[in-house]
Amino acid sequence: MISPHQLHPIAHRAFWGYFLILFNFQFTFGDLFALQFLPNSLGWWMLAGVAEAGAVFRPSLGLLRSFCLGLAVWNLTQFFPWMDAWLPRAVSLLVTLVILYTHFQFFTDLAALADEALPDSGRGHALRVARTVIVVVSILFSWTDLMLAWVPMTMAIAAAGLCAYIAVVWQLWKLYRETEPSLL
Amino acid sequence: MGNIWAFLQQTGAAAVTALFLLVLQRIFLRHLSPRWQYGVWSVLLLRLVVPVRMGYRSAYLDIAAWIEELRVWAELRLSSRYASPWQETLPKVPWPELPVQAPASVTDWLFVLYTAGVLLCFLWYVLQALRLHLRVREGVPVAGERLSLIQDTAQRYTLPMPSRVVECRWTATPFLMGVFHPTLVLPMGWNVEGKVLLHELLHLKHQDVLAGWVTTLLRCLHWCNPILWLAFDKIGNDRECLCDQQVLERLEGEQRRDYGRVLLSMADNRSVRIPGATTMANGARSVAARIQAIIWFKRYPQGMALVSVCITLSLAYALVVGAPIQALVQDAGGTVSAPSSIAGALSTGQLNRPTTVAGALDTYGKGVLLKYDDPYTALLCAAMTAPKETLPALTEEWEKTDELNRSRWTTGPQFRGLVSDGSGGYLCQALWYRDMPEAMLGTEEHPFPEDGEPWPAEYLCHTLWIQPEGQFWTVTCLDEAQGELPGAPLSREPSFNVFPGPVTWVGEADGVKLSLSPAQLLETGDGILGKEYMIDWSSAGSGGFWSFGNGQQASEKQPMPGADFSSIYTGTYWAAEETGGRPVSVTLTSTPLWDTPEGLAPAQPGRRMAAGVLDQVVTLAAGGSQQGADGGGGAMGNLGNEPDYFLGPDALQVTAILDGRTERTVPMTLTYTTPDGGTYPFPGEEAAP
Repeated sequence: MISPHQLHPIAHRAFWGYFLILFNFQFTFGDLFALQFLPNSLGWWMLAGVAEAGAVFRPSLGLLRSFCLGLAVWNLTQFFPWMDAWLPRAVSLLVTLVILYTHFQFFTDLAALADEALPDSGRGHALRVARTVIVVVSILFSWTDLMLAWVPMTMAIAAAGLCAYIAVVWQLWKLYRETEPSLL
Repeated sequence: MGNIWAFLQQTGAAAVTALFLLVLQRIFLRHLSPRWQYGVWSVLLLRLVVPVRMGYRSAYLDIAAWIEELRVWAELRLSSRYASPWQETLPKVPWPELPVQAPASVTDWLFVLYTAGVLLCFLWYVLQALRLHLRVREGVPVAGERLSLIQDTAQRYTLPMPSRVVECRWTATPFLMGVFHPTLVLPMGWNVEGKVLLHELLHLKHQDVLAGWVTTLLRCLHWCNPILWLAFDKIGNDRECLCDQQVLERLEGEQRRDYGRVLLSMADNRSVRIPGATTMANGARSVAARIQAIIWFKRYPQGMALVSVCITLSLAYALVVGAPIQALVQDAGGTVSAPSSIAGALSTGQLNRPTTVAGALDTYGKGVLLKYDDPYTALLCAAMTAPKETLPALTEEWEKTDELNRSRWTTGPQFRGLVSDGSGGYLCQALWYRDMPEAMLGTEEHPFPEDGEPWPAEYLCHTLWIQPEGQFWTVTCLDEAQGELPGAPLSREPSFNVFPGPVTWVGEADGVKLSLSPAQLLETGDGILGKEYMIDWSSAGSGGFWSFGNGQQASEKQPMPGADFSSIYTGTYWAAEETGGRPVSVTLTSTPLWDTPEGLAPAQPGRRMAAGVLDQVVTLAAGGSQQGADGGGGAMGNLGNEPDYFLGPDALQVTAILDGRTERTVPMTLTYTTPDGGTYPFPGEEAAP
């Protein structure tokens, strides 16, 4: 059974981890190098820390640690845009599916922890809704790669996806705030 | 599948998909539920029934290009009846089409062997099922208390009852068989074990016998692919694991451990693989894996179905549906590269045929331009655009190309006079240029140019017929002409564009012969290549229409099968000749007309860029002639492929006023002309005299 005090640092790391993963600002130097201001690798590394800390309370969360570490290494390729052309499409597909599953399981476990720590707050339900949103948006983004010629659709999905990501990160922020010791 | 290569395409794609799914299952082994582990095989099923590259789409893990290259390499050395090196052999259906001709080569015989294997395999399975059916028919129907127990179990868990329940001496474990009249077969005198019954009734509920028959049929179609056999075995085991999961979800505590013990007791039983039957005992190794899964049993969280479906849909979209090939080519820069081999060039060409008129022209034009500098790309371009029946001759000609022959054309391609042929195709001239070599100058016929005069240049002109072939375009060369350019190429000199187009309308009125031709100039993709090799281009400097993009290098030499037109310069060629033996002044007016649903009509403003109204006043001496090119408008950029915008007129309404007298309409006749004033025979029509 997890207490709000124990959940607080986990929620803190989860918020920053997802903030780094879902939002991206970079400055590119042609195809050679892209300076990432919000590196995804750091985000996944932080989520690996969340998985390790949360494994005590939810063993299924601990199983995600290896996925998060692998994704942290994979996302180093963000810094080198020229690598995109060299990476096999099969590996990219595998990574997309691993990310999709990790989002799902991460939010499922966070929601379960929130239900335990904050039983009547409805935070667990909100996180499960956020889980559905992030899974659906991730699927749509992966399909846009295959809808190459359908530009209006990809732009609409991008806009909706940005709004959805903001909503997801907002839920994690609220979890972090509601577990803050000074508020309880 | 009409030949061994089509089969290799289909089975190869399925094998790669199966391997990918096996790796994926390993990664998600303890993360996703047995429902997903079994359900994800639906992607393989889709891959097996959907022909490779159907709808001109390419999925992830696409190995079609490699198999096609292997086909071309092999078939160039054989004389097969079922396959050819000149035509792509992507499968149209996922099953073999029985050959009607006798085999003539190794690959033909391989296909016959494969087809025979499919039939024999299927026959064997059918006979096995029939034998089982006959043996079960002799079974003793179960009645009394044992039958009541079975009925109670079905009722308790809301499961269907089989049509028959029998017991047989020769079976050691219970199994279910039959699709239309499902029969539960029990060992003779077997003590009814509720959990085993539950397992078999769950198979009945989910129509697993039918699923087994589907797998059997696919096993026959791919009898020689060991990877797919491995996958089909895995499907069977996953089906049993899913059934175990469903049993465990209906049991509690100690009952689940009992189920594991029952399974353990079947570990020594021989694995029975009979088509049309399901059994709990599927081999010691599989039973061990299932017991491990029971230990890991858990109820999966709500929402697992959502992510499972999302992952499966993503896989189906990536591995089966894929993306349009044209879009993938566009995403990779719009160009197609040629491997450095004949087989590679031919196979790549057959798989990447032009999908736009501009793409067909661009590809053909680059093929001629690169004939000596990059022969494999030239062969690729020929394979992409030539009608299939001309490929053998083209390849033979390509193989004889003399590398030492340096009569190469440095600059081009440029296109001129695009018009409709009246039956869905188009006619067009393609032009390439080069400066006249210095060694040829200094003669009376070709003096050195004075200061300010353009350097003499030559042109090569192919009159092209662009025809649709399904969703692609082919290009046939109807005529080739070569000569000196009348003016400086790639400059703004009006004398440059003064020669007939692919069609010319001719008419005569009162001793004046008139000729008019569409002469709009077009560029595709990245524009004219090799401009820097022309002296007058490099000395003309920047500015003006012709030097647009003068910073471009000759690096984008690869064909662009989905190219758009990138520039158009309006033009109409005209010529007037006095044949009546007296000087005359002619006021010539020509209005271009296009075919519309309401008949021939002038263009609406902005819809047609190829030609405008021609107003010309010409003074002719007796027996004299004049010619010129009218133009003045143009556009550049990514202009798309809308034919209306680029096409020359379908007819001309010509009026002439001779010596200021009455205006009269001149009836015009269509002829097929070459730049040097000659004619060429248009297929199906007589050549003009």
